[in-house]
Amino acid sequence: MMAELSREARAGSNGRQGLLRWGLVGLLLLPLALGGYPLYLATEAALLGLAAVALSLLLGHGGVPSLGQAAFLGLGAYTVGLALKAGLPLGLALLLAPLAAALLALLTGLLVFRTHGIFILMLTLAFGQMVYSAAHKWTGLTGGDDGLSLSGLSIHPVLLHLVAVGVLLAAVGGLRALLQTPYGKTLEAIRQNEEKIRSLGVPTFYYKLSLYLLTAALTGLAGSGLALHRSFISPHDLFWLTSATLMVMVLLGGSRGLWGAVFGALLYTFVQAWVSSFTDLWGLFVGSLLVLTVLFAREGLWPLLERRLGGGRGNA
Amino acid sequence: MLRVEQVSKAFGGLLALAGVSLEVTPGERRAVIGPNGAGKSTLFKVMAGELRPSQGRVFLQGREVSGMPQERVARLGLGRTFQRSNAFPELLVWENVALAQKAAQGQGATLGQRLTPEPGVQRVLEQVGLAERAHVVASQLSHGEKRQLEIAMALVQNPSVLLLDEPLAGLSGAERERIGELILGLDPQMTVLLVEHDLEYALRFAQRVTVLHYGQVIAEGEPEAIRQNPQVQEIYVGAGWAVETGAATTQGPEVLRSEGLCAGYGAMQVLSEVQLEVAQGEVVALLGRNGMGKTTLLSALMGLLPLQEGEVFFLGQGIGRLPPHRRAALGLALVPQGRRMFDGLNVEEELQMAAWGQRGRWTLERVLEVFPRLAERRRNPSKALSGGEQQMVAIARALLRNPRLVLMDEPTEGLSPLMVRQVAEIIRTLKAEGETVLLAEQNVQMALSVADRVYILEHGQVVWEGRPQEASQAVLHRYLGV
Repeated sequence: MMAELSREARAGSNGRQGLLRWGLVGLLLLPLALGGYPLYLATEAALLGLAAVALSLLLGHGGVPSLGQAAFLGLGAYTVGLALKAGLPLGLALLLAPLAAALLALLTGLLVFRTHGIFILMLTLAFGQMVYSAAHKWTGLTGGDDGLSLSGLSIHPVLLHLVAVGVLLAAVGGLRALLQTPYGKTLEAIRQNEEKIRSLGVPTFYYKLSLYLLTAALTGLAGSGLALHRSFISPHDLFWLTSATLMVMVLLGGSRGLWGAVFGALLYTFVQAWVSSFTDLWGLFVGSLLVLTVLFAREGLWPLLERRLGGGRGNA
Repeated sequence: MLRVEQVSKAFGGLLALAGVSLEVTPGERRAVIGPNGAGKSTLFKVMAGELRPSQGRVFLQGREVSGMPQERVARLGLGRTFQRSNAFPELLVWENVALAQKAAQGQGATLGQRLTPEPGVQRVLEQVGLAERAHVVASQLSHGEKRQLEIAMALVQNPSVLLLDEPLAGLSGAERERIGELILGLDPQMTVLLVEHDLEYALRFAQRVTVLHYGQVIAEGEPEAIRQNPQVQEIYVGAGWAVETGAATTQGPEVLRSEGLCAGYGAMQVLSEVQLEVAQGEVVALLGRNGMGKTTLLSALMGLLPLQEGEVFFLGQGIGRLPPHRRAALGLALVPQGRRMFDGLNVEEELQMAAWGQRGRWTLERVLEVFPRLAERRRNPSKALSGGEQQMVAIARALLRNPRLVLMDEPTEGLSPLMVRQVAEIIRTLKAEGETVLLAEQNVQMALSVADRVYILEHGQVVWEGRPQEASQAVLHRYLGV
């Protein structure tokens, strides 16, 4: 009787949580009706959302604090830009971008995962800044400060937006399913007690490395999307501030469950655009928002919404 | 099955293992015993591949495993439980076990399907008695259940050799009984090595016993032979305890008195109407089984827990509503359970920190004089000390605040008999120095040997008080089950 009641209650709260997610998808699609700048921002949010989802998986579930995600984003962007300039077809260019990012992740990850905790943060930051410097100084290839223009290419904004949202939702769905597999649960176990899972016979190094490759590839894909979306690639997008922005998105929305990262990216992008329209003190505003979130909704705003509106435990 | 050849392990200048050799045959039950700091845990870590031996080799089923990373050794069939592990606290109980199974099968990286509770997982959960708790988050398990989970995770891997590191430590009563039985009932095909402080249990469990002392094997043989071995008795058990029968110390002025003290957690009342008195220069023991309210009482006296009713008088002043730091300033010091050393500080720094800004009879020099062991160890990181030495540091820290009354919460918890004697010696030293001590203790023999007066706490109430020599067998048996 009790079990049945609680099951019903859970089904109800699951239903409401589902509604909340549909609401989020609705918010992503709504600008299609508005067009123009709102649509531009929404596509931006969906693509940054993909990168944020990747970081959320890495940080919240894998326990790997990376501050070098901008490098993968930028490498994805430059790869697609240079491939198109070299005359490769768009499909191939979009395939090369995540591969290039994953290759970078492999090279750096071999070193990064020899350390733990704060050292991972510092190493990823250092590698990220090295890629930034390369993009900035290698003017022959990247155009340096002048950036790389992709003006020749025109994709209809509505189509681009639909594809971006589609990829984002597919990524969230696929990765959430991945988290339920033995591989996904093992990742969570590594985060919670690495010594114990190693004593059970799991070579954690390879798990963390493979997760790193996967999230780098997704971030690279997001970067290639951003390049197409903005028709322009600037080396400054590879600066570590972009990595920090992604982390802020994840922390605002909530680092577990992946939906939080989507919400964080959407919130950040639109609030930034709105606040910067009347003041330059945007940093002050996002800072206060982050402080409030950390103080009063440590798990992030999305779990808070799920608890308040969804009525569930917010276990996402 | 498992062979250790001349293994040594040094940490800096400290030689934890000095040429240990042992061989375990298939299906054997082997106990490794020895006082704290003898190197038992280090030996297990070397066998499991967590630590690389400085010298010597380890063979598992004829294959050299020393130098391999621990995950390789685990995959070769070495299972292990940790003394302190809460496994994967955010995962469900069955998920913890299922992951261990997948790891043993080398299928941890499976992507195609969800993790599910397979029959093997169910069977092991039933075997250890956790079937009912399978769908609970692991962090919500009780202390004893977490041990059961540890064992389940090891068993589901079907290891050829199982290392159990103090599986009974910190357990009491029914939990101890249950887990003790569980281990005795393990598959006789499995080779099991056990490190355990409970000597009675270790000797009952084992077919052969290895005794370690200062990183060396000092005896090996069948349990009965080990029990009779005078050398082992000497270092491990020591001579019997004598109950304190000296002339009753003349009653000094009252230092602490509680009246009608009630306290608890939230709505739950743990202590009811506790009357207690401690006079100047006395050592007062507070006895009681686990969960009878000893720690709660000390916390309430110190102010870490609010009083629900009643009052505490300290040096004649009502302090029942004061915050802990004010009580500390008045001269009340608590030596908490579990010792709580600071990470990264050495012994001298720990003591300097405690002595900072203090002036009184206890100074750093005086403490090092009274505890020469700490003077020897002053440059060692406090976390690297043995349990007994850490307890010394914890007590010395309290003394450096120059307290009027020292509250000690189970200072012998988790210590080997030899270390327990050391702690008893420390308390006698304090008494000789004229300190006043309220000692909450589970080790009845030890407490009776140092105390001037005794309170017995049962279900949050004082059920007996008197002098140690009056605490007849009948009283002890009735309230403490000893």
